[in-house]
Amino acid sequence: MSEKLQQLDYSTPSEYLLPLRIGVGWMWFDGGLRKLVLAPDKVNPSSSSFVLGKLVTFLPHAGFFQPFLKFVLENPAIGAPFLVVYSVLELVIGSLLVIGLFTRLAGFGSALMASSLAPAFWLGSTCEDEWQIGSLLLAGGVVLMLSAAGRKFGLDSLLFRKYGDRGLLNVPLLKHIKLW
Amino acid sequence: MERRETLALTFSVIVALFILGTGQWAYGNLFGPLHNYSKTPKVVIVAVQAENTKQATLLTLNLTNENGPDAYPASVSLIKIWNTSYTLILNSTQIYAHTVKIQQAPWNLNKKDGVNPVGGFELWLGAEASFTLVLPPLSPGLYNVTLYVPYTPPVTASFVLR
Repeated sequence: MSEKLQQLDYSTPSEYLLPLRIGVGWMWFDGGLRKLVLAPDKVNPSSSSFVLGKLVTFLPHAGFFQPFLKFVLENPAIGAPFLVVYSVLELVIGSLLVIGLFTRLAGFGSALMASSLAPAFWLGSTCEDEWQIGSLLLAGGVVLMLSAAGRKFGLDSLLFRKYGDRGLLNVPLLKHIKLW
Repeated sequence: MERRETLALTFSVIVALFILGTGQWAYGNLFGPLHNYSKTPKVVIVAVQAENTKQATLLTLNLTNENGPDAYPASVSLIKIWNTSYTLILNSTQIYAHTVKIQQAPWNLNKKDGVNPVGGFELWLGAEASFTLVLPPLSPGLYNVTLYVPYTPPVTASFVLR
């Protein structure tokens, strides 16, 4: 019995992380796809669909984020490029996670972007919508970052075979943020 | 402990603290009291001002909506202006008819507060606006203004008309 137990591998096979990669990745990709491709009016400051206008609904309980949100709302010329950059990041991070390229870096980005949704976490008229979405995307991003989930069924397998483990930059702190 | 285990535990603690902390802040779902600010509207009278002109009284209400759903605005469908000897009630159609000016807050980017004959004042979550109403001339004195929003307690503020 103990011999059998010793033979067991307790680590999670990374093949099983593919559904998480696809799920988390598509959630981000969908956000960028909707804003930049399917309904580009959402990033047009002169349109009534301009999605940045929704930030006003975050205001009442946004705490110390309130001045920043008001600044962005009152200066759409600054807010619009910020929204476009955010949407592009959604597309890029989402697609990287789905195809398994730079997965650890994309997982790190996913975690950061998920925590940036925190000012909206109190919004949830039917259930705890925003909080649940943000929390799951954060946890998913962290798991994908730590587990290097792109090395199986992902393009990271090629990079890892060729270059081994690589950090973002070979300097303190940043060298711990792995690329794949 | 292996490095991998240390990393896993460290990030788990960070994620857990983030989730529990934001959950408590947003909904009180760790140790209560439970709350959900996006269920029912909370209309707030930020300021109220009144002045008499030659033929009418101009009442300016600066209103915001601090709670409730983000998908549709709250409606102020009835307004009562009153004191010990006088009462004026405006229903939604009258609110619409008496509103002569709406000044939006600079952060109401495309969620503009408004007025219509069915719902009266329409206030988006987080948005703020000043509504000016023309009323029949009121005598100088102390008045109260009470706003009625369906399914929420009435909101009252006082003003002095000189």
